Amino acid sequence: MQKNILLKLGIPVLIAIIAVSIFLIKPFAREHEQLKDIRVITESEQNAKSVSSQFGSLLKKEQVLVGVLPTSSQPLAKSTKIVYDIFNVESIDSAALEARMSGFIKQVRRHKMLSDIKQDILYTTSRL
Amino acid sequence: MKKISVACILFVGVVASVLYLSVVPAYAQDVSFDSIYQRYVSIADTFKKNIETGGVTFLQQKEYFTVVAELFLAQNQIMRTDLLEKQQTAEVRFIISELESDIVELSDVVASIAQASDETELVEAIQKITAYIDSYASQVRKPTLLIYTDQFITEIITPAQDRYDAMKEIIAQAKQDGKNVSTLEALLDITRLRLYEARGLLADIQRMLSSEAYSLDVIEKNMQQAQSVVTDIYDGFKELSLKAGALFSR
Repeated sequence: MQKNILLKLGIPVLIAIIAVSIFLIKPFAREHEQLKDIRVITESEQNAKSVSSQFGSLLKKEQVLVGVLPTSSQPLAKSTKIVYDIFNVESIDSAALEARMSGFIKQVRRHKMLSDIKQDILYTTSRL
Repeated sequence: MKKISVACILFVGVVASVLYLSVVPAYAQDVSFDSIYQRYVSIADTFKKNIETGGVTFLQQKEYFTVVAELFLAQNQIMRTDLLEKQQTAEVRFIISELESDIVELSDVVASIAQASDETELVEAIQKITAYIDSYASQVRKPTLLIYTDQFITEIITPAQDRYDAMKEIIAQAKQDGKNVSTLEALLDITRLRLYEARGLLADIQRMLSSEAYSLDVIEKNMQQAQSVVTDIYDGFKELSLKAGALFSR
């Protein structure tokens, strides 16, 4: 009797647990796959970045060894030894350039302000 | 325990001061110009209203012309500091010496206005400042902007062109070696056009500054455009760098 009751209750409960598990686990599995994909993409992106930046430092070391390290005043990429330095991501940092460029624009703006003041003075001195 | 706390506070204070002193001077001058300009706007507003109602006092005149001289003084000091950091060509050295003598002259004007005890003395000081402002556009503004434009080309456009030429050479070599460089060539082509555009904008500014009359609004617009184009060029370099890195690593 007890066995029957257990069977009658146990089987639906078991089925319910399996169904819930399938519904819950499936999205997690999909997310896990997506995460794996993202990881692969990120890793290859990082590899590409590090490969290109490593070229620069490796070649610099090499140039130091053979005594041909270029100075900043030398033209770029005339020697095959500094070829990959041109593609070094670290050397293409435009933040300093941005600062210099916006400095110029600020200068022009200040000149504009002073030019407006000249108009003000022409007006005020004519009325004094 | 107390001693340790005091030492910690002192240490933090010293570190904060060092950081403040090393970072702030870079833009402190701009802040100074902006704050003087704000003061100018407020004083000029009241001054104009009072002129219209015929009620300008001697002290208000002193206040107005002092802030005007202080603004030109601040601008000259900013330009002098900027130019001292640039490559010291003969033109740059000449402008710096001009700015230095102008700074002395404007400081004297500020002092004369402060010391003026009657209308006659004040009028003399006002005449000096108005004469200075009359000559400012041709004697200071124009040569300074020309120097800035030349140095923008030397310091920003030319290195970008050099990098482009070098990349082009390497990619052409890789193509000869049988590598597929079509993506890199397409990126190079975009960069070439952008460089051409940036040079054109700067050449326009030079041309404008060489003529008698020029518009500061147009110069500002061209510079903003040039800045955006140069940013695009460097973004292109970064992309080329990443793609080329992967290509040459194989």
